[in-house]
Amino acid sequence: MGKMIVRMLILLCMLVGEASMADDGSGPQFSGSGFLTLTAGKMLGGTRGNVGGFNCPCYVSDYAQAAIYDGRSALQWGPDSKLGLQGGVALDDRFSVTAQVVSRGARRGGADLEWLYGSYRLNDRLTLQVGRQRLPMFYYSDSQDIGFALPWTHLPTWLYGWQVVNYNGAKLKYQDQFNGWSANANLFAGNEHRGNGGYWKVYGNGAQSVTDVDWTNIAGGDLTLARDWFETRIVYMQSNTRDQPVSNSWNFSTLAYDLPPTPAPVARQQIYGATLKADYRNWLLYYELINIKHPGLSYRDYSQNIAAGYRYGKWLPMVTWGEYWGKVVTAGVLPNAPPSVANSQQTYTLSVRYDLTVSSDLKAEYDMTRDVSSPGFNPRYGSSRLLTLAYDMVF
Amino acid sequence: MIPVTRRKVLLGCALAALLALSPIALAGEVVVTGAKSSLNALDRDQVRDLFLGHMSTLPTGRNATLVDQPQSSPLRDEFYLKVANKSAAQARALWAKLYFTGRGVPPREGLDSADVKRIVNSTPDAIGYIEESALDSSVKVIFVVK
Repeated sequence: MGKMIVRMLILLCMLVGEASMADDGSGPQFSGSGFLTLTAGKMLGGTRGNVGGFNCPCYVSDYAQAAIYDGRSALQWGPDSKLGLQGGVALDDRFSVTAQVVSRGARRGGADLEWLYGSYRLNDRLTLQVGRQRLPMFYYSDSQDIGFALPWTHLPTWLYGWQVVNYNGAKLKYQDQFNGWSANANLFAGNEHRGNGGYWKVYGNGAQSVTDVDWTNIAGGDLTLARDWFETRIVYMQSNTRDQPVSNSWNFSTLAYDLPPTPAPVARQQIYGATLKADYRNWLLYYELINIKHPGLSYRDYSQNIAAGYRYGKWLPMVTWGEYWGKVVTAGVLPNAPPSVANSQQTYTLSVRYDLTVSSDLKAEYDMTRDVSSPGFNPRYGSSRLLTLAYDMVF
Repeated sequence: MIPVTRRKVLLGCALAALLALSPIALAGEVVVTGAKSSLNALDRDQVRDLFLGHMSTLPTGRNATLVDQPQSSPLRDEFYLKVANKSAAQARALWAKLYFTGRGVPPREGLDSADVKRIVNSTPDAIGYIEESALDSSVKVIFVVK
């Protein structure tokens, strides 16, 4: 199925090449484009051990795709390399259909349909999109696969690492300008089923485990306000969640897959997020915070990320710090757990981007991660030091 | 040692020669639309917001069709630097984010200024930018890039 989708999109892109539009805008207008990221990573050191079947030290670059750099000595190309193809057709100035497929090294080249939606412009300010789209949980969610649009070789993992990144449903988009501000707002609703998702392979069930994830009754909204060099965004969404192990899971006591799958209850989650971003003169400053509440369950999730960069011509060196902490709000949930925090990691990142051409860049990034989870918490990956080099382009 | 006055003259000549070899710096750029367009003027913020994808509609209320110079053109670098204080690559990265996430259609690329004028003149609500020396009666100036 995936290969067929990719072939269809390649064919579409070849057929249309550059946007082949009539100058007067009449008739269907086809477009085809794509993006490529090639990343090589080298694990420089960290805590050694077998964690959930991974040969660590380990650095998780993308939970949803189970993209993980492990302790092997060779260069690792898979976790962050990807190729995306997008094709679209605008039937008139109101209605268009867009599809995007992404092939990932993290999935050994396997392709996923990331976007497939119809878009109908209701008026100058409102647009309705229906189909498969990106779940806008975070500031960089929409563009998380497009390396050329990012300052890092991979997104800050503790903030951006969750079970699903897409949904099938509808989104109502609003765009307006007033008093020098531009406003973009979205209301969205839908569902997502992820069979054999990557998240639980990394987060405790084991590298060889199979876990299905369902997010149902997704509903939420986000608002982005921008003026000149300043941008801010808030988001709220809620959904039901259900994580259903299909295979045996990794047992951290016996170091074997001997935990049988057990029926998973449906839980609720409420997600609150906020972002501040300044792109003033040569300075780039960014802060993002998210809080996930799970009504009726024993824990909450928090994560934040802060970054500062300064542009020297085509160079953008940047310093980034991020952390995640899972806070136990009910006593006695985990053995040996400290009073509040059960699971916590921090990452310090130094990165530099060089704009090679108008549509390509080179990046280098050094990530240093500390795992400060409680002793009783698993999976505990420990520390890691990772160097990644990336080439990004759009075409 | 070269006398101070002579050094100033030589420095002036060198700068003049440098500027002469750099037609962009001398020519200046203008944002243009079709000669028959009802759009008469944009301010700097409007031009910046349109070409960075912050807004998509013209003051006329109609959706704008944007036209860029080719990627290799120094006009493109100069334009984004002066209008938005960004490099052409930064602008392209912003558009990549918008395009691949369904939030905008990036500017079309003209082959050169003549092609930009052709597209602008033949496409309703299209705006582009060219060097001032390339102006002719097919287009009208709606903003002078400074």
